[in-house]
Amino acid sequence: MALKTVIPFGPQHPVLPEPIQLKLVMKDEVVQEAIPHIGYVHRGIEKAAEKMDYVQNVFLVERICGICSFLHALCYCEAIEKLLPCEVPPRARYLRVIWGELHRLQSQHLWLGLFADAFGYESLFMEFWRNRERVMDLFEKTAGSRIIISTCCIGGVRRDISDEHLEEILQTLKEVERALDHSIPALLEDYTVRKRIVGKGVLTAEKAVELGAVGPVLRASGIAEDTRMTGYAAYDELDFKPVVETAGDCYARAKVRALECYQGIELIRQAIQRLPDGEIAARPRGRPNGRVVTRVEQPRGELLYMVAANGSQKLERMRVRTPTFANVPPLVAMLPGCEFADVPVITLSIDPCISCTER
Amino acid sequence: MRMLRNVMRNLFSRPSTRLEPQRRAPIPGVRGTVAFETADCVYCGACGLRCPAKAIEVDRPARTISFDLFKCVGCACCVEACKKGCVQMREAYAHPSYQKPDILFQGAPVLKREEK
Amino acid sequence: MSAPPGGAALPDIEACEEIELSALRAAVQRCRDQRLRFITITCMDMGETFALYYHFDEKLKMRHLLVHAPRAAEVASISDIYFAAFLVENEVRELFGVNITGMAIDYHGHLLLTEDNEPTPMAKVRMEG
Repeated sequence: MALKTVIPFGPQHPVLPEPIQLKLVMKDEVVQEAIPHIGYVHRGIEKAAEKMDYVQNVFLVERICGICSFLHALCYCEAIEKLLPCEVPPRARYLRVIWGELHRLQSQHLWLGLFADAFGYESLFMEFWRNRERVMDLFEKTAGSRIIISTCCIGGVRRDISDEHLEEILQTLKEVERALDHSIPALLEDYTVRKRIVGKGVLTAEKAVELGAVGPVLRASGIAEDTRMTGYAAYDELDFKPVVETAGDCYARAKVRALECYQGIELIRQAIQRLPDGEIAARPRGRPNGRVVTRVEQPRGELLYMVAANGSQKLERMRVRTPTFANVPPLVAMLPGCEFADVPVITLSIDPCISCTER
Repeated sequence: MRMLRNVMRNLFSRPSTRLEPQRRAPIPGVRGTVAFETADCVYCGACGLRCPAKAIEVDRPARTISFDLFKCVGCACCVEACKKGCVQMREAYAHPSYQKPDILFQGAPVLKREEK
Repeated sequence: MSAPPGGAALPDIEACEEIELSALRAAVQRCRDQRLRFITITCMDMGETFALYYHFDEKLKMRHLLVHAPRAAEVASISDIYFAAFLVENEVRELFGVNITGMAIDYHGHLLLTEDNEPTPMAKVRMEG
């Protein structure tokens, strides 16, 4: 008779830089049940946001997650702009798209690299990360810093992108695209890699909706839901289609993210082409009052901000629901029935960002 | 043979990594570290009020600005807040250090009217 | 929400349905039957009561349920209807002290906090005991 064993996976595991613990109930080599434990990096940012000025909060929310910091700021600013109300100039809306998509591009690169690393393909990991470095340099040139770029502010953006820099972005995107053409087949068409990821951690469309999966996890299960379609910033004026795969396994999730790199490049090109001239920021007037919910699409999925303000300098409540928080229950449902050696790959396939999750 | 070509290329090409910030010139336009120019400063405290990380403390009567480099998040809010242009971002990265000193800027005492 | 002294209506959450605490589970079950995607729960401490927003997504349109729960009232868990709710229910209970019962996975107040932390850090009024 096989004995049941409980294996603590994480919070420190070579494959995961993120502090999540999964208690795996095992029968032989097969996972029976997984119980997630978080709480290693809880910082109380929601509480801190109530103590700070609503303008300063932009810099606080950017620090919830380093990798998608711009999109946190964007979502927060959209919420406050609805409450003020404050009209964002068109150029600022397009610049937000450009920076937002660059952030998505570097985040998907980061994930593709880490995913390759999860099954021990380290040279591919370095390929992706070297490519990512090109995007990071663009941030440093256009925004002044690499990760937390602090360019979004209430009413618009804080920096303009000059024409030379736009030209440079287009040039770099060409290089990035060429490098992607090179490295993505190595991930998706390689025989050994396919053996590791095809058919692992399957999530059906029905299950995905039921468990509240968001972002690439949801789209890999065949549901064409991308929060960008709601048309925040300038997305309503750009044409794009959500990337959808139907298999719902690790391979489909990797493919969605890989194709989203190309989609992001295409969106940046469109945005640069249509970039209007004019002001980059409107001066916000008054104090926010009322309650509002806004959503944006992060590289990892849908991000939700609910802001409640009472007309004073400080917010009454700021609620953040990050995409990984929504993707943990699907992960818990994916794991039972898989082999222990596949746990790292499946866990990484939801792109966990625990510092986001716990805020 | 193909491998030999790769070996030769890797032997003689430049490293694909970049030097650490201390040994290369910063990219122009980078938000590096905050620098204060206290000659024109009126010690209004706007920079300290706007700072989201509370890294700047301005003492108006004593005419001092104390700045904690390790709290600074490099957002450049203080630069935007300063009406006199006394706060600037230097295009240089902060160096690593063993201590966390508060940087103190001492302004000249206010001259009384009769002394002028 | 009450109108401000100026008279203009405050921007409020659209498509928000206010329901009784006892009708919560039936309303959530209706959402489940319509195949809505559960997003999250937002808790707000209003002093006497907690305002609990349940957010749902229907083809990129948002729908919200609002429940006012008195401080000591027992709020039934919805994690058997939507399994995805178990994490956020644990979080709301820990950070605010809302008495949510019957969660699918119960962390007993130690999802985010440890024994050394003071309880209910997000609540505006500190609970006794």
